[in-house]
Amino acid sequence: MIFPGPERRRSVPVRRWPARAGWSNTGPTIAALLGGLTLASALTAEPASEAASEHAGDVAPELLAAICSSCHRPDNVAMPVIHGRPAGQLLALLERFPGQRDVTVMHRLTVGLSGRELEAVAQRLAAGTP
Amino acid sequence: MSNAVIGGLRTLDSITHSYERLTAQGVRHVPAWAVGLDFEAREVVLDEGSRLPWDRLVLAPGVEFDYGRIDGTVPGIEASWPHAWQAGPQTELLARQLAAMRPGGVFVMTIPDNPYRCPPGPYERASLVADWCRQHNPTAKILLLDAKDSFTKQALFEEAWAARYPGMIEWLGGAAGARLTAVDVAAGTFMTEFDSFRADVGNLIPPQRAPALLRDAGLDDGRGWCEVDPATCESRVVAGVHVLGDAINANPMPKSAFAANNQAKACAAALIALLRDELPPPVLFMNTCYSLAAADYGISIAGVYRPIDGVLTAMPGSVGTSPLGASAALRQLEAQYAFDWYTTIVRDTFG
Repeated sequence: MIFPGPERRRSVPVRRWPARAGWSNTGPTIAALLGGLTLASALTAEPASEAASEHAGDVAPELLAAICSSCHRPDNVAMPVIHGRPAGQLLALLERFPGQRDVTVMHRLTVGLSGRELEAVAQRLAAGTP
Repeated sequence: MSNAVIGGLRTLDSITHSYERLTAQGVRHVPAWAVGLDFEAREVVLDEGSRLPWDRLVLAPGVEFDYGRIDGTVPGIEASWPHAWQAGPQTELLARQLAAMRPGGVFVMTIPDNPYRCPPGPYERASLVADWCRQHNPTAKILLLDAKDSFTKQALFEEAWAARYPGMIEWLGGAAGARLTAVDVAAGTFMTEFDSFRADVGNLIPPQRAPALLRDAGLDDGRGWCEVDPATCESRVVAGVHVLGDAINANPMPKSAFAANNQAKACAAALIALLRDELPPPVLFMNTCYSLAAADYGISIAGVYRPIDGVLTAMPGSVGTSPLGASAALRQLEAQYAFDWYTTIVRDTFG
């Protein structure tokens, strides 16, 4: 059957995921970014099977660096080159963006990351090419 | 970037890309249409009759154009009024129609209600059409018939239009009765709720939805767009099937190329874990969308989004646009960023 009806679709097993060990340790960092509105739910969310995809943990620096590479490449004409620059220099730039006015998008994109994520992605970008 | 082709800033060749670099990296490219999804056998049915098995399936099919809600639309209407919302032959056709428009002619664009692919795209197109007309057909008019009462980056576009193309672009919104209800292609007429308009060049951008391949398989659950778990892009309807890009409801993220690119990266990270029977990792998505109001006039919108309790959530303070009243230097910088971004996203996507 190529197009199973709804009752057949439900017969496909839905995968349940086990709790992720230690996930709640990384919760408050992101929860703090979200402010009071969602703080409570982020802290109290149960790492049960239904909540498998509902992490509030740090995003891996490899994925963050891949997101940076959606815009930044070493051969850019105007977009600043970020790959291979010293991690300390990158982190100083990234930490300065939030609250700045005379920038185009980076003050918005950095405000959505935690301090730990900024630090980790600066290290990752310093180490490599896209 | 196909809007830049219509406005004469780029050629279609310069925005045409092959899969060669991907296949050189070991990606298998099967040049066939997927015509069916067999969830029981976990196989994609191809138009030439063969089947491709999957452990996990990723679907990124884009959008389907839905003329069904507009009276008088006939098969082949795109030959008269190209939507040019899927870059290709229609892009060049619309560019040729614009170039051949009579002096002082009216370019009519109809714009659907949300959601649709590339929310600021119609207004960028209007800008670049106006830029072309300013140089080659200065008494031409561009009329935008919009189903919506407002649109993304509206104040920024209107600021640019007043500065660069005064009196040339007229926008009518849904509250002014500008929602398209019917067309008379032979007469060259667009009918809205309140009025009718004669076009010298017609650009009907139809309402959109997930393609029939997905809807016929029930992946949209009858809603027109596919619901997914934002952390993995896994379908809410069928386990093991991931959908990303314009075909999903990714609210509050827009249907942008950047969003689709970031969904693909998050989905890839999830797939690596899932195929190893591990828990999918935390992910986030960014969006940056540049629009050109002219070749040297760029504006942007950006934001960061995370899945929180299974709901895609905009991070506070992250979503916003370029400032109003910015310097010419900033607009020029953002235009350069727009062209840089295009080069980068092409390399990122096609190798």
